[in-house]
Amino acid sequence: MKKSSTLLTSLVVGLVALGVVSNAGVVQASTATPNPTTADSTDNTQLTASTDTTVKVNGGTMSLYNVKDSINFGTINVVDAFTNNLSTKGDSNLTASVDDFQGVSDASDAWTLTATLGKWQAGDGGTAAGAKVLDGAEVKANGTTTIGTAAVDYATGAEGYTDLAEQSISLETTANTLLKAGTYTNQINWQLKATVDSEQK
Amino acid sequence: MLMDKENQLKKLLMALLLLLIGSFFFRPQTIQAAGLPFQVMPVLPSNQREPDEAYFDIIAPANSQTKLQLKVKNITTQPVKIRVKFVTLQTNNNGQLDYNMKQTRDHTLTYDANQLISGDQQLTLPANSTTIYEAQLRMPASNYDGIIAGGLVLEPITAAAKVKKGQIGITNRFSYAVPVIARNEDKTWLPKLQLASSKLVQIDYHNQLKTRLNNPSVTFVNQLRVEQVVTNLNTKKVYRKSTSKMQMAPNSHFDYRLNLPEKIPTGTYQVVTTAYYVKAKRAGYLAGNQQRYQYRQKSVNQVVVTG
Repeated sequence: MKKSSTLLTSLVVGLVALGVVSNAGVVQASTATPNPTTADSTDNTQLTASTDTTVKVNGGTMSLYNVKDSINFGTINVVDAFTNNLSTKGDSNLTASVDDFQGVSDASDAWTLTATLGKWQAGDGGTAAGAKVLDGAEVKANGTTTIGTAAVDYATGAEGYTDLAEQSISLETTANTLLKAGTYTNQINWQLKATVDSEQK
Repeated sequence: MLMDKENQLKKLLMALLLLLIGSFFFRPQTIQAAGLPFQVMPVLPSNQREPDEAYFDIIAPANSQTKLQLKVKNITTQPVKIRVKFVTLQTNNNGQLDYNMKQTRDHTLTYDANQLISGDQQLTLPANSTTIYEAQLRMPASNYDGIIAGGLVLEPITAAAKVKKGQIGITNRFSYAVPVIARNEDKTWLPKLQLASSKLVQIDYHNQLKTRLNNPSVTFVNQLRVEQVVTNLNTKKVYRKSTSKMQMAPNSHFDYRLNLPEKIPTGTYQVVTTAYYVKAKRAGYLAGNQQRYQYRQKSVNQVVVTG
C-alpha cells in the first residue's frame, strides 16, 4: 500500500512536470516549417540592471504572423459571371498579427502593413487571355478595401501586440465578364515596415 | 475490503500511467498559418538623426560610409534563407511610400539609394538563431543638398503555396522593409508639388482619369490630400474623389486615379484638382476635410471624350 502511494505521488509529480514542459493542451502554432504562427517574444524586451541603478532597455523586434498561406475562391461558373455582378468569397478570412516591441516609437502608426496584388497567372488549363480578364476583377477586403497592384495600407498600429480584426476577402467581377475555364493563381505580397514619420523632413 | 482499495488504487495508477504515456504521443494542437519566419530590428548607428524612429535616418558627410545593421532572428525550427534587396524609395498610385516598385525613375532624382547601398543579398539563418546582418551606405562623393531615401527589403526564399486544380486562388508572400533616409547635414528643405494635366486612360478594362503628381523637391511631401472634381460640361454630371494621408518620397511621382463609368458619355469634361500638403493648425489653406494646410496647389484642365 505504501509502495503504491509512493508510486502514485511520483506519477502525479511526473505528470505535473510533464505538463509544464510540454504545454499539453495549449493551442500553439507549429514551427516545424518556416511558417510561424506565434511570435517568439522571449527576447523582445531585455532589462539589464547595474548596481548604480541605471537601467538599460534593449529594444526587441517586429514580426508578422497568423496570416493564411493561401486563399481559394473555388470554382466560378462562367455563365454566372457573365450574367451577374459576382462577389465570390474566399475559403478563409484575412487574418494577421503584428508584434512590435522595438521600444523606440510613441507613434500610433509605428508600423504599417501593406498588401499588393500581383497579376493573375494561368495554371492548368488556364489561358493568358483568361488571366487578363481576371486582372479586370477586383480583390476586396471586407468588401471595401481594394487590394490592387499598387500597395495599399492594410493596417497600421502602435508598438505592442496587435491582433488585426478578421476580414473577409472577395473576388468581385462585373456582369459581362467572360471568364475562361482553368486554374488561375495570383499572389498578395504582404509587407511589414516601420512607418516613415508623416512629419519626416 | 483492503484488497478492493488496493485494486482501485492499481486501476488509478494504470489510468495515470496511460495518461502519462499518451501525453508523449498527443502533441499540442497545431494551426496552419503563415507569416514572416524571422523578426527584424534595426541597430541604429551613432549618427542617427532621431532616436525615436525605428528606421535609419542618418546624417553622414559626403563620401562617408555608414554601417546599416539589422538584428535578424529566425523564429522557426528550420533554417531560413532570406533575400535582401536594396531599393530606392518611390511613391505608388495610392500615394504611399513604396519599396517594391519598378516605376520609371523620376527625372528629378539625382541619386538612387539602391546604388549607394551594398552588402550581401542573401543570408541563411540556422534554426532558432539570431544574427546581425550588415549592409553599407556610401554617401555620394560630393556634397548633396537633399535627402537620399531608400530601404532594405528582406523576404524569405520559400516555395509558394499551391492552388487547387481548376480553381481560382491567391497565395500570400511576405516581406519586411526598413526605410533608409540619409543627408549630409542636419537641415530640412521646403516641399514642392507639381500637377500635370489629366488624361483619360483605360486600365484593366476600367476607365480612369489619370493625373500625375510630381514631387521635384529633395524632401518628402507630407500629409498630402488631393481633392478632384470632374464635371461633364454638357450634362453637368459631376464625379468626385478625395484622398488624405498620402506621402511622397523625395523626387518621385505618382498617378492619382479617379474611376469613371464603364460607358462614359462623350463630351468635354472639366477637371479641377487641388492638392494640399503639410498640416498646421493656423495655416492658410482650409481643405474639404476642415483641416488646415501650409501649401496648396491647384490645376484646372479639360479632357475631351470622343466616341
